[in-house]
Amino acid sequence: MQKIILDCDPGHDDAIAMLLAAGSPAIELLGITTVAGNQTIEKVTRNALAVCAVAGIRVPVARGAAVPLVTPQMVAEDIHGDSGLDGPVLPAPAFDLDPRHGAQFIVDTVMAHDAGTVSLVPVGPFTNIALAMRLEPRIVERVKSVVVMGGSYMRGNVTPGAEFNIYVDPEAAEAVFRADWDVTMVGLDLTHQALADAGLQQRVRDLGGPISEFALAVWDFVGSTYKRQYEFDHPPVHDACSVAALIDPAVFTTARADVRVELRGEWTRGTTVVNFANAPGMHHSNGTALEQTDFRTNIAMRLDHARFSDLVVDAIARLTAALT
Amino acid sequence: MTRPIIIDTDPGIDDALAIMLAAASPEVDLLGLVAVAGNVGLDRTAPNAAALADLLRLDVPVGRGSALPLWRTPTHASQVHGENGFGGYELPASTRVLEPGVPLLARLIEQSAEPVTVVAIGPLTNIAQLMNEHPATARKIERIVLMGGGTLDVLGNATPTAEFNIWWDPDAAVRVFGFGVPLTMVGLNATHQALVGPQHLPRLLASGGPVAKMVEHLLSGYQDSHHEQGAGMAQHDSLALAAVLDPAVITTRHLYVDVENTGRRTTGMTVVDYLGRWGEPNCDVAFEVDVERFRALLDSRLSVLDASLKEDR
Repeated sequence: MQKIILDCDPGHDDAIAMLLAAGSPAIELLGITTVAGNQTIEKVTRNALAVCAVAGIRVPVARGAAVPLVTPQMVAEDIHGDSGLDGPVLPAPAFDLDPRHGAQFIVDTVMAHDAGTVSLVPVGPFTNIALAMRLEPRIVERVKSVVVMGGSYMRGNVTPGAEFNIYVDPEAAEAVFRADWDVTMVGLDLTHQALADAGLQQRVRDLGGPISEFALAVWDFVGSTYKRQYEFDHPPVHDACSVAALIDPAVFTTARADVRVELRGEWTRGTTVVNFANAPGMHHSNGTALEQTDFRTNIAMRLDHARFSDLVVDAIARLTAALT
Repeated sequence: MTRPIIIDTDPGIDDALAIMLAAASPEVDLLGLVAVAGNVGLDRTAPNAAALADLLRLDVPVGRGSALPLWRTPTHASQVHGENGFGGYELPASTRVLEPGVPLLARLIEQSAEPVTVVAIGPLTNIAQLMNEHPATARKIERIVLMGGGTLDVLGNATPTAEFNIWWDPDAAVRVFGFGVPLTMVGLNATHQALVGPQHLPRLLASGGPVAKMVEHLLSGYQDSHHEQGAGMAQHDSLALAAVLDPAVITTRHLYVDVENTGRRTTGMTVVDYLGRWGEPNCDVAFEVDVERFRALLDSRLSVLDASLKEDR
């Protein structure tokens, strides 16, 4: 079993990631930490507890950073609505929060477990991870791997060049990508392949039960905002892709690259600049490409949609069975 | 009615094919060539432009423009184009007298009865200097069709996010993209589809004259960053020319494009509002390419040109 801490900002696709992490027999979910992103820290934390209540999830939930490291807060109301999880009915929390700050929870948990056993899965802005690294630098060598949802090697969604999680806190993202640990970047290039299409939604519908209903309500709402904002026919299930990689590495292919985050550009702040190891002709150029030759990051490339769907359906089925 | 054009260029292997294509095409009236540094230094690109003009019997002025970017440190792409810019192919040196490039641009634009299309297939330094020094003249340009930049699946070839022409002088690109003259951007995402190998130019190579010989050598000496085994190499500049001759060769979308020139890692990037939601459109950005149509255009035009040059000898 893979031990993970899921750091998230529920958020519609965060909710699905929570279901996958809690329901998969291959994952031991040590805790959930929340970060401001899709909505304010109060709202996303309330949403995280609500998802736990719907799905019968009982793990520590610790409230994390309310603002990015340097820049002011911004949220994604146009995608996730006023509550951050508009659409489904959200029950009241079934338990109290862990008293610690999310970053402290990450530090304590990583230091308490054996080295090389705990993976971090940040699927919101990376603020808590960066804070945890500063609170306790030793977690970098102790963490097994970091599988993020964020960035892209060809496009943005909040600006033409930048994806939301990176754009909200680019300094935190640069700290995470540059640290000396194993990072997999699951960006828009991969997650836009992970659509909650009719087939996947029907399989979830067939399961029945309150978790199935919840997931369908999530996809119904975010499906309409994605249609309106981005002309997608089906919503992408971004965050669950990162969790899926820890359940079954074959769920997507990867390529090695050197990733740096643009912090200064007028139009490109928050862009992940991805220099692939196998990019022909790039490395003898001057300037940036010559500097970016530390190909330490794994970039998610091609998704096996069928395999991914199986994991999501299976997790919801198991959580549903455990409820009764 | 022929369309008057000026080609601003840094020959350059793919520049050479583009200039040949222009020389071979009755739809355009090539008023002049203006050289800029880029692929190799100006001391190569300017004589190369003149030598090409000689080869193609072009009775037009050739200008010698900027040796350096507006203010940054220059670099080159000799690993792609060879030390002499033509992959080692030697043309007889021209005895033409080259005029100063930016004044030549201004003169040709002012003197043309019909508005001129500027086809910019090298870094944009000359064009930016024209805009800075002769803005009223620059506003008379009908359209600038440039080979540069990229979006979506091919952002860059000089750096992960920047194409060579824009990266070589990003400040010039900021000026050009923001000036207000209608723009067509033929970027890497389009040109990487425009793969041409010797197998796609059968009529030209069979013709065997001076153009055929040079093209055959150029295609073998061209170590572009994008080539597919057996499929050929991306002909960036001649695609931009082809779009002027036959708009059906590409599809475009009218979008908002900024050029990044303050980034630590992203300077030289064309930031294309590919969703059409973040700003007022300022540019026609190329996306799809009719590759067969492009190859057929190259082969038919260049073979006719080649034949005409053989006869005159």
